[in-house]
Amino acid sequence: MNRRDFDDETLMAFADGELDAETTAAIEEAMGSDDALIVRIATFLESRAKASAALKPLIDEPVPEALTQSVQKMIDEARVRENATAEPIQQPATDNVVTFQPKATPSKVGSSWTLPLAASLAAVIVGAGGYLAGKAGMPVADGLVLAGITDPAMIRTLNATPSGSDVTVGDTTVRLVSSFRDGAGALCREFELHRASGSSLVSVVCRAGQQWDVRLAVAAPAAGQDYAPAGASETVDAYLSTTQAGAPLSEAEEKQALGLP
Amino acid sequence: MKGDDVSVSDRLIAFLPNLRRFAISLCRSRDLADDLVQAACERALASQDRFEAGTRFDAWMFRILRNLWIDQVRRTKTAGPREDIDDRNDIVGVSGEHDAEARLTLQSVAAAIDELVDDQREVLLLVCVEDLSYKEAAEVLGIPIGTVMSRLARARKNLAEAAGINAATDRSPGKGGKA
Repeated sequence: MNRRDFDDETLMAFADGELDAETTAAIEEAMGSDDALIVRIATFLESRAKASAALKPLIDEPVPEALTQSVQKMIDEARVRENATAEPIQQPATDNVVTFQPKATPSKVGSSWTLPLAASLAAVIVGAGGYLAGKAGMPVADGLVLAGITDPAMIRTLNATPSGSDVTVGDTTVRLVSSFRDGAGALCREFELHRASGSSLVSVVCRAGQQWDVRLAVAAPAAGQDYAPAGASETVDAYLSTTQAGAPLSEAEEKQALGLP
Repeated sequence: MKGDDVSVSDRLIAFLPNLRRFAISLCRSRDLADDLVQAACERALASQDRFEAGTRFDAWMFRILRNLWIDQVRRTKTAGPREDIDDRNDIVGVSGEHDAEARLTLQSVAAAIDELVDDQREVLLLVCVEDLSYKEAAEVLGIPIGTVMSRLARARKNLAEAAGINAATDRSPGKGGKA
């Protein structure tokens, strides 16, 4: 029959059983008269089998007791929090017995934590206003000066610095953490500011036209190390999940989004 | 709107070995992996309301863990080399394989997987080790299926070559390790 050319992706999908019926039939037919095709398919079958044989046994390795305990503790604490916010019909649960509760309605699930969260976010944004304002030389007219970043050095940094690098602006080190798209498709960047004095700030800004709007800024006390303290990153995480932030962009995607060469 | 009938917190402990396997092969260090697993569980518990019933729990957890990993890589990129890089090569330490030759092959395969660029390694782990479909892997990684397929095909050809799996007849021009 006719000798069709199949690319690697198609043959791999065939080997993985992910190919549509029509192309599968075409390949099966071609295999009858094309040894090279069979060798190529075998490579994909074999590579999967070998990778699987090499790494799957890792699952049999015992999970360190400390890790299991730590996760169990988090689960227990999460349940306590959940019960605390539930309706008063709730019976007091003992440590290891969780009272069965009817499924909450969707609206209730959302409101149980977004309300206090929104309030706390407002607090940290206002709190961080003075920080950014004082640092980046923005007018400290009122609590809302955070609407946009105006410092030219900061704008240049956000426009042109790839994630994973540090830039020093004055006595402040800016660490670009990641770029992502928010739920509305705007390009956003998460970064940390570390001042020589030891205090730091975690912030999320999103591009609006030519400028960067500050969406979130969480001031964090000095942690001594390079890492943002857990409290700050939890707030950022909570914020990111409410805005339906996408996965971090890869280096190439980020370059493209920022319009870098 | 929690999971099916089983909540995220009910599933986490049972899923730890899977999560840890993915983390170890992703970051090639057990110490880093355990920290990462713990952080992923913490984040999963904090956002368990966002887990959609009827979707794959493993894919959801892998996505959380992988995003944390990317964040961490970016945060530490400028902080010099990681100290744990030395225990990369003992990743295959628990295989029940007794035949010395087969064991050697597995080690060379594991070493070859270690050497893959991150983009290729993570997709290989998700599909060939964790058995996610292309579509599920695409969702975990936040990239199109076409990209999953091209990275995965390159990863497997590089792996085959490095581990001497097969004398593949190669008809695509580039065989470099780059994505």
